[in-house]
Amino acid sequence: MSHPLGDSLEVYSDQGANWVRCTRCSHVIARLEEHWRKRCERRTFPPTKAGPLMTILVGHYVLQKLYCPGCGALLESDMVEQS
Amino acid sequence: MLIRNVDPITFEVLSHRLHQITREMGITLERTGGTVTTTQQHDYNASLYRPDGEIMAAGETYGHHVVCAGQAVKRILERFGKEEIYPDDIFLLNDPYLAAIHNPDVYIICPIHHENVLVGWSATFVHVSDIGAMTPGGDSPEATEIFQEGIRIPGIKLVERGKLRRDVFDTITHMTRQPEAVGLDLKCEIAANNVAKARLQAMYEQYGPELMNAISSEMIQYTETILRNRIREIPDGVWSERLTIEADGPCKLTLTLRKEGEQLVFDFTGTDKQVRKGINLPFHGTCGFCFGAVLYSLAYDLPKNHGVLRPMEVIAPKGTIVHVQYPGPISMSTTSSGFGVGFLASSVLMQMLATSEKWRHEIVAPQASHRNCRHSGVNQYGRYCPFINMAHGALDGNGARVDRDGVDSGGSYMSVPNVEWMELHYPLLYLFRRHATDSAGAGKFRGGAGVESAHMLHDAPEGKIRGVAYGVAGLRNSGHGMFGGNPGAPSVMVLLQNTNANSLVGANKSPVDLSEIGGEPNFLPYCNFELKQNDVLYMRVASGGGYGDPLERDPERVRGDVLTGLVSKAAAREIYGVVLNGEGCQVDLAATQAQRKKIREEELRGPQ
Repeated sequence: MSHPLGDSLEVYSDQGANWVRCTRCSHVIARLEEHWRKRCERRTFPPTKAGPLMTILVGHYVLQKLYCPGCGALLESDMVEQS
Repeated sequence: MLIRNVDPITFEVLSHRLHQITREMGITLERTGGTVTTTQQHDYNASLYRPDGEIMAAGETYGHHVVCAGQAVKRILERFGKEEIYPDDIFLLNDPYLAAIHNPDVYIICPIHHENVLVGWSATFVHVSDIGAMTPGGDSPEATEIFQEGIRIPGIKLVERGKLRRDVFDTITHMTRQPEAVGLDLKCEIAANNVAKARLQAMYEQYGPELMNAISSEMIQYTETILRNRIREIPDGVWSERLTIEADGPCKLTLTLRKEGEQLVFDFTGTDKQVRKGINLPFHGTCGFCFGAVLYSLAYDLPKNHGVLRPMEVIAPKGTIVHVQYPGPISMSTTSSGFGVGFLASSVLMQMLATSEKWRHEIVAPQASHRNCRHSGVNQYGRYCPFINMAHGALDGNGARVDRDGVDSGGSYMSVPNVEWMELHYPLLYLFRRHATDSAGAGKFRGGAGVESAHMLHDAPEGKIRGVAYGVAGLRNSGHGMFGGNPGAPSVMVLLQNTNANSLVGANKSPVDLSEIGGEPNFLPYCNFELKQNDVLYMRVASGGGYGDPLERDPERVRGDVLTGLVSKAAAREIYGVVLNGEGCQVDLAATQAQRKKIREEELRGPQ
C-alpha cells in the first residue's frame, strides 16, 4: 500500500503496518490508524497572521499551523475555534 | 465494451444532442424570463428525465436542483398516475416537503409523449420574484414555520392538454407581490419546457423509440460504470468536515465520507437538530448538494445523469438541519445549509482525492459560501420592486488548485448584472465594487480574490428600502485552505448607519474609502433591515482558500499581485515573505530568502 496523503505526506507499508511519512524528509510521523495531525508540530497564532481582513475572527478563532516534526515543512493551516 | 446495445458514434451524437436540449432550454429561460434573476443572474436549471423520473440529461447549472426536479417528476407521477397525465399537460410544484428546496424555486414539469406513450419529462426551475412569503422575495429570516414562507403547491396542472389554466395561473400569481413578473417567470418556464418537448419528440420521430430508450438507458449505465471505476481506483478511507452556521446560536453541520470499494457514503450523523429559523434543508436537497459535489469533482466530463447518483448513499438523521421535519421553516435553506452541505461534500471529496496519485491533481480548495442580500421597495420610477437580488455571491473568489491560482471573482453557477444596469433599474448608487485587497487565501497558489462592494440609496421616493440578509452566516464561511494554504477572508455584510457618504458625494468626492465613509457598523445576522438615507451597505463575498505553503510562492507572482492591488505590500512581506523595493516593487531575492527563513523559524518557535 502506497499512496499520497496531500501535498507533502504519503502513506506507505512497512513491516506489516501502514505509516504516514513526510515526502520531503521521509520522517515517519504516525501509523495510519493514528491521527497523524496529533503527531505534528502544532503552533497557533492570531487569525490576523493570515491577513488583515481576519480581524473579525479575533477572540473566536486562532490560526493553527501543523508542521512536519522532522523538517518543519508546513502541512496544514486552518482556523480552529479558540479554546 | 461499455456500450452494450448502441454503436459508439450514435451514442456520442445522441448523448450530446440530449444535453444540447438542456442548454437550449436554458437559453430560452434567459431570453424569455421576466426578471433579472433569470435573464442575467441565471438562477435556474433545465434538465431531462426518463419516464420514471431518473435523470436523463442534467442541465449545466445547479446540480442540487437536478436531483430535486427528478424528485418532483416522481411526485407528479404519484399524485396523478399515468392515466391522468396527458400529452401537452404541464405541471407546477414548489413544495419543499415533497421535492423543491424552498418555495420561490418553482418547478415546472412537462411530460413528453411520443405516439401517446410517455417517453420522458423535462423540468425547469426559476427563482420567481416573489412567492407571497412574510418577506418579499421569499427568504424570510423571521419565519419559524413553513406556513409563513409563502405559497406551497404539492403539484397542480398549470397547462392541461396544451391550454393554460387561467384560473390556476391567476390564483398563483395573485398571491404574490408582483403578479406580472411572476407570471412572466412561469411563462418562460413553460416556453423552455415547450422547447424541450419539441426537440425530444423530434429525436423520437427521427430515431424511433427503441433506439432513444436504449440511448438514455445506456447513458446512465455508461456514467455509472465509469464513475464506479474511478471511485474503485481511489484508496478506501474515511474523511470528515464540519461547518458552523450562526443562526441565533451556532448550528453545526457534520459530514463523514466513507469510501469502500466503489461506494461513497455521505453520513451527516452528528449534525445539529433543526432550528426555528429557515436554514433547514429537506433531505432531497441534501442529496442534491452531495450529487452536485460528486458531479463536479469526479464526473464533470461524463454524461450528466442518474448514473452519478447510483454509487452514492446519503445518511441524514431525521429532524436535523439536513433532514428537516414538517413544519420546520426552510426558506433560506438553499444559500445557508444547502451551500454548507455542498461545501462539506466538496471538502471530504477533495480530501479523498488527495490520497490518489491519479486524482490529486484535480483538487480545488473548497468554498463554504458567502453572505448575500435582497432589497425590496419603490424604485425611482415609482414602481414597487419586491425583489432585488444583489447576487454578489456570483463574484466569489474560487479556491486555489494544485498548480494554479483560484480565479478572481470566478463565482459559481450564477452571474451578476453590471453596476450601471442595477443603478438604472433600482434606487441604488454603488460607491464601489472591486476585488478586495488581501482577501484571497495565501498559498503557494493563492485563492481567487472575492469582491467587496458598497451601495447606498439614490432617488428612492420613500427614502428607504427593505433588505434581507441571508447566505451562510458565520465566521468560517468563505474559502478554506488546503495543505498549508490559508483560508480566504470571511464574507461579511455590514450596515453602516449615519455615514458621511452623501456629504462626500455632495462635495464631489468619491466615497471609495471605508474610513472616510465612516458610520456606525452593524454586522448583519439573518435579519430584515432597512436601508435609509445616509446608510451604506458594505458586502464582501467569499474569497478562495490557498493551496500549499505561502512561503513557497513564486516571488514574481507575489509582485504581480501587489502591482494589481490584490495583495498589499505588508502582506507580501509578512505572509509571503517577499521583500519588494522601490516604486516598481522589484523583488529583492536575497532579502526575500532571509525573510522567509526568519518567518518559518519564528513560527516554529511559536508566538512570543
